[in-house]
Amino acid sequence: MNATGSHAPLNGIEQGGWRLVYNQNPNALVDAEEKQGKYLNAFYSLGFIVRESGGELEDVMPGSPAYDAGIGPGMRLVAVNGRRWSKHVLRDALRASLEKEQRFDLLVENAEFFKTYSITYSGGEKYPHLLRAEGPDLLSNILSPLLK
Amino acid sequence: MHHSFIARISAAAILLTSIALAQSIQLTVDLSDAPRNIFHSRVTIAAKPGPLTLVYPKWIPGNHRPSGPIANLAGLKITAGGQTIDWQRDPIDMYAFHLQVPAGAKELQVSFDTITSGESAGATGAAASTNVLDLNWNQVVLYPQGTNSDAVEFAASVHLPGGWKFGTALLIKTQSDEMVEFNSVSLTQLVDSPLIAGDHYRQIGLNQPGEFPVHVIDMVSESEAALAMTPQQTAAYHLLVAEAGALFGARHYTKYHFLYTLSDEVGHHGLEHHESSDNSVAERTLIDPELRLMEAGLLPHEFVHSWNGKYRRPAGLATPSYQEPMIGDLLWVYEGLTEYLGNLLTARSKLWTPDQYREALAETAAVLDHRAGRTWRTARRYRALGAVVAAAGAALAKLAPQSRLLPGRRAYLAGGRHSHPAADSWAEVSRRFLPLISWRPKRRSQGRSVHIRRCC
Repeated sequence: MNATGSHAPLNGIEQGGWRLVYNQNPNALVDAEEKQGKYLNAFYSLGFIVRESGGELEDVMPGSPAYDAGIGPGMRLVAVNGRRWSKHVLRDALRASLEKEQRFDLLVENAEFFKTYSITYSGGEKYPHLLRAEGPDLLSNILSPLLK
Repeated sequence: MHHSFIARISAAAILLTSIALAQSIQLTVDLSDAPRNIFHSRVTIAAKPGPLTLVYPKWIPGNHRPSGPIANLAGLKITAGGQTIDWQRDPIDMYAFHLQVPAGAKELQVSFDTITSGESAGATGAAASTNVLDLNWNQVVLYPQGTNSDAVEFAASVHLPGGWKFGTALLIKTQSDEMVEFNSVSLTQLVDSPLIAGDHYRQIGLNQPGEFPVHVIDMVSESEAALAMTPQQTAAYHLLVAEAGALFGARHYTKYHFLYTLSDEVGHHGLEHHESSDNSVAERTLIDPELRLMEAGLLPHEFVHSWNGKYRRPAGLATPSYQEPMIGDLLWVYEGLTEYLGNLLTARSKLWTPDQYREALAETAAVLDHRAGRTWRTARRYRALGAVVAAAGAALAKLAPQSRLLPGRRAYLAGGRHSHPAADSWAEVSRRFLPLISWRPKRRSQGRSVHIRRCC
């Protein structure tokens, strides 16, 4: 509360018997929001959120592969590895990166100017989940209704 | 922090003592032009000859920032006994209008329009459409400068579009056709009691027969089909009311209205009040599983605010009128604890399965764990963002679950969708104080609920 830091205090979740993990399985909330909001959430992999319409990079996480390559919010994604970008094109490339490291050549429009940013990335799509860890399951206890 | 918080709550409680209502103002709002987003106000104010300043509410409860949509006010005309009175806007405070009440005048007739097609106090987007409207009274009133909002009584009435029905926590005095007159309330309570209305309307009761206080959901929408709440959802909202009662152990309101607007044409938001909440979501939220999942936590969150934030309010937000700045350094409690308890109730009432709760918590944790803003600013200091953004004249930065910060700059500024920066801290708090934070009440309420006017 009173300190700065690079990570959120997640001890409450861990001591509640769960831990935060990332994997290629869709998160139910993220998935619904992506579909309804018409964007792709690659925040936890390449480090950006991109709108389906116009490819606008709505947000880029400082310190992420995309940010370190020089990409910033407000730019537009045009193509991935030489092909016009779409959810499918980007997703397929991300999925392939689960098996082995992939090169992502991202053609990006910044106002009137175009530039290709190259990123090397492995790890596939990443979505957050809670996984049962050690200790008593206090989280489920808290979620139990008080009324029977 | 905890000690000073309790001390401030006590200070706020002292402010709650009732104050004799010194002045009465009549307000009629003609909403018949709602489909073209113009609300017409007529205000009658008792006045004495001499200088007078009228003000338009600036700092809006629940927004916690100077969001009163002054730019939407148009067509201001002031008369006394048929004589037009010249007025001047204050050269510095855009919310203040100076005038001279002429000799012999006993009251002023003030009329103006509020154009509600743009930002309307807390929500981006319109307040009304062809089929629905959301009336936030702070947008349609003027009152004398220096008046404590507890100390001025408003006799308010509305003229609705033909055939529309409405929901509000205000009590009806008289009703005939489209004219509805409400019991007089303080300006505080009026601003705390929004009204929604629409062509398509449905009310759902959430109590067992004979059970008090009464809880209802008032719904308006763009279509009849969008009002088709499933029996499972209805059962879950019954549980929400019951589980909240078990969680807190007492109720402080005399009735509670969940006002629920289902429309793609108006601004989407959730705004907390003492005896109601003003919720606005996509039209198909009740009937689309994805939207339902995304919005499941909204009503529980705003409901919890009736306890945490309204019945008990951080002292810095308990200002004497809407012109004084609010100090929001306790917003991490106001929003963080509310988010924690609201999501808890969402699961306990079965609006979310435990698995869906965990997916939501995982998302919140992930979002907050990927916030560079955390490297330069503490969660306590997050509050300043609202003021920073307001000062920059930028778009919405409301600290609500569905809020959005400046597009493209969320990661660096720290907040964002589904991310009360304090929510994860509350998870940490819950670890330390599990027996307390699970809020199993030690003693039951004495069966008496107290309605405190101020606190809203």
